[in-house]
Amino acid sequence: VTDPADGPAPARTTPIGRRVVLGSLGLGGLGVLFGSQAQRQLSKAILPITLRDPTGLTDLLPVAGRFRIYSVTDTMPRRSVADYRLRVDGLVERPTELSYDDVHQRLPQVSIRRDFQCVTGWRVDDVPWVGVPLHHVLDEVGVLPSATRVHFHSFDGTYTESLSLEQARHDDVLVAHSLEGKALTREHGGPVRLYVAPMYGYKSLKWLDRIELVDHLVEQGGYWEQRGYDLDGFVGASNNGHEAPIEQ
Amino acid sequence: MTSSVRTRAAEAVPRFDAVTRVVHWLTAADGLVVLATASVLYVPALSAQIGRRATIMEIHVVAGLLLPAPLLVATSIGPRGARLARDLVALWRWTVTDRQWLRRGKRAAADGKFNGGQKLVTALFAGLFLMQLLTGSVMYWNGPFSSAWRTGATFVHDWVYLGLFVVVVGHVLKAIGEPELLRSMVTGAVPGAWARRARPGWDPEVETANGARPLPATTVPKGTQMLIRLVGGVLVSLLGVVWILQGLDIAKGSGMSGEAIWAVAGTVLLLVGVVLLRAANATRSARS
Repeated sequence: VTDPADGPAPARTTPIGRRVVLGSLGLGGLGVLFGSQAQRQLSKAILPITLRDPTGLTDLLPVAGRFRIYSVTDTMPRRSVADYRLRVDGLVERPTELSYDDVHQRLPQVSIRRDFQCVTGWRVDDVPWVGVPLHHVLDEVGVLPSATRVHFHSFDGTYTESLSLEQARHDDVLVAHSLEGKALTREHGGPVRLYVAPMYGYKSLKWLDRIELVDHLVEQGGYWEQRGYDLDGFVGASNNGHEAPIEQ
Repeated sequence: MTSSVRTRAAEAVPRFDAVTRVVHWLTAADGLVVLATASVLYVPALSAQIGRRATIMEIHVVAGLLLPAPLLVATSIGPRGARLARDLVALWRWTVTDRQWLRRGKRAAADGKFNGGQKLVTALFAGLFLMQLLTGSVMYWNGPFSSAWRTGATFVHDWVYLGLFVVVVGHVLKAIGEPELLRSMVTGAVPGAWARRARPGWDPEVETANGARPLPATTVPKGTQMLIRLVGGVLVSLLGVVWILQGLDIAKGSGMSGEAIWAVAGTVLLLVGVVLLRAANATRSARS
């Protein structure tokens, strides 16, 4: 039933609203399917501009190559290089405190380049890291045969993570102190953080304070595991993904 | 009869009823929460300053999912939401004048209650919201999706966030630029002179019509209306039940488990779902 006062007859109108809405939905769907490639192309196209931008405002554009800053507590913790100590204890022969110089100079160093992938979807391609492979740290303190897992504590007081002893001995699990050629900043978890290359970002604990060798699963494995994330966070093969894990 | 109406119309004519205004401001307030939490999650300086990522993310998801709730409830409560429903139908369809208003910048006075710009911004809000709902769901309930899909969803979600910021700022600037319209969303009325000048094709009398002049029926087919309410009601109720179970820690294994806020949000959602289902039932009874 249409009232004459209702405006012009329906024949003279166009459902533009419907087209805009359906068009957006279609675009959103295409974006989910092909956004990953589109983002890579766009990042390449936009790189010359971002490199010359003195304001840093282009860093806010949603292109690949920008880290999101995750912090689970109300303020990010701060610790200077001079004050930094890494406690390694639990089921070990020689409980030890490592200084920043131990991590930065004395222990064997490796550099690796990998894509950094967050479980929710943001990624940064080809990120260079420098640090000590965790197995060197484990060998330094002497792991007791009873130990089965490695539990990591952050000096933010809240964030925890863990790996099985086998995962912790992978060559590409680092106690990292450098990101993209620079000393790790506080935002990125500096002065020293964990970097677990084959796994999603949440496994790479920031502001590394203490490495504890244990013989059982502590706190369901860690902060994000308590919130439903997988314990074994391999990129592609965990959190219900079914892709093959990335091999080195 | 007409003389008294006309005298009053000379100073202030009704434009939006109370239901419409309440829906507008509830949605606006919730939308601000969504944009504010989005900024904390997205802008590195804010993320670093405020932190508390897990909590901010939960607020963002709940507030985002609740965005359409005021509108859905209001258009499902029967006659009291009928004016809002009628406005939505009017916003949906574009006349020749609206298209010229938009395409050629030919700013002739609108031939209905709304002009092309108002119709465009409504369609953009609806379309961009649905894009965020789709991509946000892939990001939050990421389990079944490949890393490439998650990356694609994040890519879209981020760009649409920037787009929504522009649309919201534009909407607010436009409202400030036309104070009569801004005031009408507070008081419900516009000056008669403005109505005659800016909306000559709009007959404000239909806004008050009650009894003497019955409100014209909406042109949304009853079947479609029922289907939207039924599907919406079932989905919203199911989600509400899941959230309650997770909030009470009966359903485990999710980031939401054991967090009381989800039990509260789930209860609100369940109530919305029940209202929708009752409305669907009413529509069905009205048809048969």
